[in-house]
Amino acid sequence: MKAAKILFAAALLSLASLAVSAALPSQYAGTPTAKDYPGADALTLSESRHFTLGADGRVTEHVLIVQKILTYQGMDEIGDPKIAFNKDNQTLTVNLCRTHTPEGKTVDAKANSFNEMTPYELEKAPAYTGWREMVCTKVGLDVNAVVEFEYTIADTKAWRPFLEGVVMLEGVFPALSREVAVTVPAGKEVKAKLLNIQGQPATSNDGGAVTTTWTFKNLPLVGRVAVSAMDEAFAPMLVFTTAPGWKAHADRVAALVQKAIETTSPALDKKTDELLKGLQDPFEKTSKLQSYVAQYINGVDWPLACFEFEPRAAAEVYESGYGHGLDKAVLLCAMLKRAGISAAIAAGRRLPEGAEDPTTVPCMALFNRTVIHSKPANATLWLDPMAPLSESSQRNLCGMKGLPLLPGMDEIHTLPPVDAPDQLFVNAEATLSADLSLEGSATISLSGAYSPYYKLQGSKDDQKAALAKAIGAVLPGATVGEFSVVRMEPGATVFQASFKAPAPEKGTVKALRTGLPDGSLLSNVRGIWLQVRSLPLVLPHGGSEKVTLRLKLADGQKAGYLPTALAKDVAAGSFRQTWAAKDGALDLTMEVSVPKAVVAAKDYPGLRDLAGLANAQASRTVILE
Amino acid sequence: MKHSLRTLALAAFAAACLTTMPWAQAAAQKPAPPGGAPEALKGVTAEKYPDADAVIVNEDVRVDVEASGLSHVNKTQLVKVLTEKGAAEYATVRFDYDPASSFAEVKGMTVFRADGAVEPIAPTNVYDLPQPQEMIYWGPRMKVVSVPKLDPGDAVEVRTYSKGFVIAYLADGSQDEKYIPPMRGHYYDVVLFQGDLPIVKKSYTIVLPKDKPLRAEVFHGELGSMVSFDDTSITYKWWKENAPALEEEPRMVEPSDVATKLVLATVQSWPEKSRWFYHVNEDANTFAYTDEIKAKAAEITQGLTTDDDKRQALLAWVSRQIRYSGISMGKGEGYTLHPGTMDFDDRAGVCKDIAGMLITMFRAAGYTNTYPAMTMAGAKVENLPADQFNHCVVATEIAPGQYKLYDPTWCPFSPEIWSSAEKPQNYVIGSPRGEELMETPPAPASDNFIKLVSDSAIAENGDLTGSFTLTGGAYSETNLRWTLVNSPAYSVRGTLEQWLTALSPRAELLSYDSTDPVNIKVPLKVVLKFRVPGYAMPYGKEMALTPPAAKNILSNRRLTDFIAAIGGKDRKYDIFLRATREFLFQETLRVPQGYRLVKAPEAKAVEGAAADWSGKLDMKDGALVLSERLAIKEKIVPAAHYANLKDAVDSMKRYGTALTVLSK
Repeated sequence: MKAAKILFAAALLSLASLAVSAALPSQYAGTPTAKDYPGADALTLSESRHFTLGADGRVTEHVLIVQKILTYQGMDEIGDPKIAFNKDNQTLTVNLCRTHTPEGKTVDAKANSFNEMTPYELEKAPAYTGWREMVCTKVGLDVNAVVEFEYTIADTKAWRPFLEGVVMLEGVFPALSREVAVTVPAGKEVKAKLLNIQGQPATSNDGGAVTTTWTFKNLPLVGRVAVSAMDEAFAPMLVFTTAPGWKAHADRVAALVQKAIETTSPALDKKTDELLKGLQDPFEKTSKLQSYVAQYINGVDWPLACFEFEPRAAAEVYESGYGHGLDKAVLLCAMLKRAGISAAIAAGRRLPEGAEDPTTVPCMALFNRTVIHSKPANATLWLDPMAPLSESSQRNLCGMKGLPLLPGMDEIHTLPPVDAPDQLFVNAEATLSADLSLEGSATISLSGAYSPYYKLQGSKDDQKAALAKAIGAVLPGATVGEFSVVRMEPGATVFQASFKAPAPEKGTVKALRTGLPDGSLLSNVRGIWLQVRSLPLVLPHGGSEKVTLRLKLADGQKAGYLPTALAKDVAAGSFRQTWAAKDGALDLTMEVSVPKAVVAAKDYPGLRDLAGLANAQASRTVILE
Repeated sequence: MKHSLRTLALAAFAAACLTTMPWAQAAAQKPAPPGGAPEALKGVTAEKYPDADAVIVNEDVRVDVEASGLSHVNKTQLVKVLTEKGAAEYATVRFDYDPASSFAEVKGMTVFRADGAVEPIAPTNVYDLPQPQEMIYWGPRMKVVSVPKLDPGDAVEVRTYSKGFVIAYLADGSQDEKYIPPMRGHYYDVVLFQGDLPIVKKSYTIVLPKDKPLRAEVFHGELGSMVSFDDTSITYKWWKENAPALEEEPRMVEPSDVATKLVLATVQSWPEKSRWFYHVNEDANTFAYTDEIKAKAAEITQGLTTDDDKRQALLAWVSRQIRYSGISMGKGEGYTLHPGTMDFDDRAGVCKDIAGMLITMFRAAGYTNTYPAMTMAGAKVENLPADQFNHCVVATEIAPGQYKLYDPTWCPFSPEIWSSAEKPQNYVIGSPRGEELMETPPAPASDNFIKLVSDSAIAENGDLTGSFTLTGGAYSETNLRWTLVNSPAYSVRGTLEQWLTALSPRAELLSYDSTDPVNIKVPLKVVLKFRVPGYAMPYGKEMALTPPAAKNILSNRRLTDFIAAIGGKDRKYDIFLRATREFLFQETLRVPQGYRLVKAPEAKAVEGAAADWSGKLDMKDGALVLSERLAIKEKIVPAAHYANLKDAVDSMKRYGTALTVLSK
């Protein structure tokens, strides 16, 4: 294991690492300030990221970033970057870490600015601690200072089958100039694609090597408040690879996976048998094994591409008690195999509908997770080795584009959605007492992506708790009494339940509050407080919802305040609601439609309007007299 | 985000100052019993410990202290896992050390299987790795042991040995010299006999040279104890059996303030420790300043006439310009402050280094009787001169024996010189004459007021328009400033939009404005202009609504941390709040012509030792006028005062959801 080599070029050049001049060096004089970029804490004046594949298969990544600090917050935000590198196979050289202060000082980082650490994500996974992070602490920082930071990560041996990369092109700092270059030996093809941004690369040929360069000017800031990985599928990025096609990946990784699955041990087999003891149903067996691997083999959250999608043997993963997504998939497949249940692994990433497809480039670095396709008896089950079925099943995984890790596979497959319409229905009827306590019954029907089948099947307690949550969301305080399962299958769950709710706290008026059903697309929308977004918002799914509620009034009760009829249609969907007083009862009908999970940034304010309208106190409260 | 770094800031000085805390609680090197598993494992079952994933069956710590203070720590810990979750948690076991000042070794590990099999763990399962680090980059390392897969019912025994401390000491001299504590000849320790897991038996033994007296005291419970001696040494032993796991309560005080705790020290008194702290920094010439620093101090204080103003200007500069990021200076790291000249160039450091810069600046400005002080943020310091500190601040002598405290780590962009989040707090100043343990006085709730003045109007159709004007004092004002200046710039508007959603999910932030949050001489004022379509509920001749100010848009983890403490009916442990607080909500809500107040929510005032609440609604000049006050009067709320705190906070919450009815 070679130690990372840190060169402090600047420090060596100048023992007294401070030099004083009048102000910023001329090349940085007159550069923009916070006034020019009011939402930014730092401005990238220039950034260059250059990947070079040598003729011997070794890769070098050279990075040069020049940033200007615009705010005090910016000092912290750019102050301590962590650079990941593989100590077993690479050296990291920091060529330059220099601050030009607005007062004219030049302050170079000294040796103590560079501290190697085990990444937090790997601290409990010693087998993977060849991966390190170098913390580079920038010194002499100040508002309006300019920091030059340059480093090189160089392979010490050819350890990667292909040169691949996914480079995000916009972030929380605007950039005046950003350049990405890929150099390969002449004759080696680079497949590349820009997503969500336009650009034309330049190509040059120099001494038997071909360099492709993408250059971008004036890239805007893209805020990251309440942004998910799915939202980021719409952010500008560059994907590239030297792999000739998906088959090259599939053949290589499939062989590794197959070998890893087959390498079991007596201890692993014993554990499998112990877990399966007394179980006959193939689904129960699958669920039991999956639950064990997902919950009790510790997960390692580090990019699978860093491990070149090479799993450890199933026996080793079990013995160590931890593994990354592919390790855990291998272990689960080995256990399923012993149980006589067929299973296959795919690597991939979830992509929202409408996002540009990056998998037209055969780049494995795109993939951030694995999934197992298993067939207990005749059923099809999609298993996430990192989370139990109750938390991650087909309804959460659908849309994943992935490569089955089987020999000869040459195309990307898409994990299908649950074959049922995405619908939520609540039909409830209750009788109000004079003090507004109530008692009634409800039918709740959840289908498609709304259906929590894997969360609830097999457990009456879980079912009752889920029903209490669902009904309690519509009628706060409600508790569930008797209930029955009308239908329980992966695509649909239907319950009937009786419920009652205590009288609300006595107030100035008799007010009954209602809410949206648990799981409604208009409740708990991520970051809904934001009035605008720069990236699309990806909801868990699209769907339609309908709630009908009849409240039979007590003798002498009559409605004081009833919300007015609401009907709003926007590009993202619609919301309709009516309250009516008739025949001694109040009737609520509420309908929500959000057909697509992806809400474009321009359509987001409309969705916010729908959610605001649906959740507002004036929409959800009834006052009785 | 300096204000969000508190925990780490404190941890830095914990590493720096807890010179008494050997990292590895290590133990007697007894081999695994040749016949099989220890007997004690038999009685530890899932049935007996239904709420535990694992149980510490036995923990023995033995510390042998040499005359120099060098300590040899042997520890044996035997843990039995009872559930799959417990087995997963013990897949790896970790021991931290600092190679600059301590030596650590895993002497042996053994797995005792439930079926009686005994499996030694191979040394190749032990990895020596750099620790993960965040904000403090001093190069600490860890031993990580990969434990063979455990099943419920299995147990693992770990035997470790260490010497030295988890801070950097002088590296000169003999092989062991670097492990000898900087306060040469002394030893101190703080040992908890309760933790996250139930403990069947735990013992702590310390063997001292016969001529080295020891001060020791047990807090929060009882321990068995024994003293013996021979010709050369005295042996002290404490133990406890059947200690349950500490229960967790939201916002409870630190475990060290509730768990059975042994504190011991060979230092005679606080003044002795104070003098040592003074000299260790002065001898290193830590606070020497250059002409450049002197010129900068003069520039910062130019035009200011009073000492207080000058010192505050220097504090503002240091706390703003020296960011929190700790890099090691090597020799002396951890217990000495970085030289001011180093901080001036680096513009980075941990709490002690930022304090060092301020001391240097003060001295350059002529305030020569300025010294570092050790404090303990977040927990008590028992009155025994063991290191129980996690933070470093500045004390300047403004009159003989009279000090003023400054905390540059806690005061970036703050008009305060000493954070109201640190009242009360224990501290020891490192002065030439030696100081006793002292305590900062508590802050009255009114110091930390936050005032929301709402000026709004409701339309006949229920639409609301208006503005909120926010001002505050001390802790509250500082947190408001940090919202604006110590958060990513792109996120500030979103944060304010999030605040407004407490009004209604339909609320729209129309604009916001504030005084300059960096300028501490101008009181902060934030104005939010908003509108909310359909806010009120008009029906017939009436209209129901909740006054906007009562909805407390400032509910977040820093400003209203006390809300998180309100859970069940009772509390077992005291509550730790960030600061005392006073919330003042004032509303003038203009209503459509002809409307009058007909039903106001009940507002039964609450008064108590921990908290007060009151609320009042009136009509005045055609407007609905609200006046509401919540005062959290104790920073550490005794469990006995919980009912009062709950009553006051619940009253505020109720008032924020209750409907007021107007009629025309």
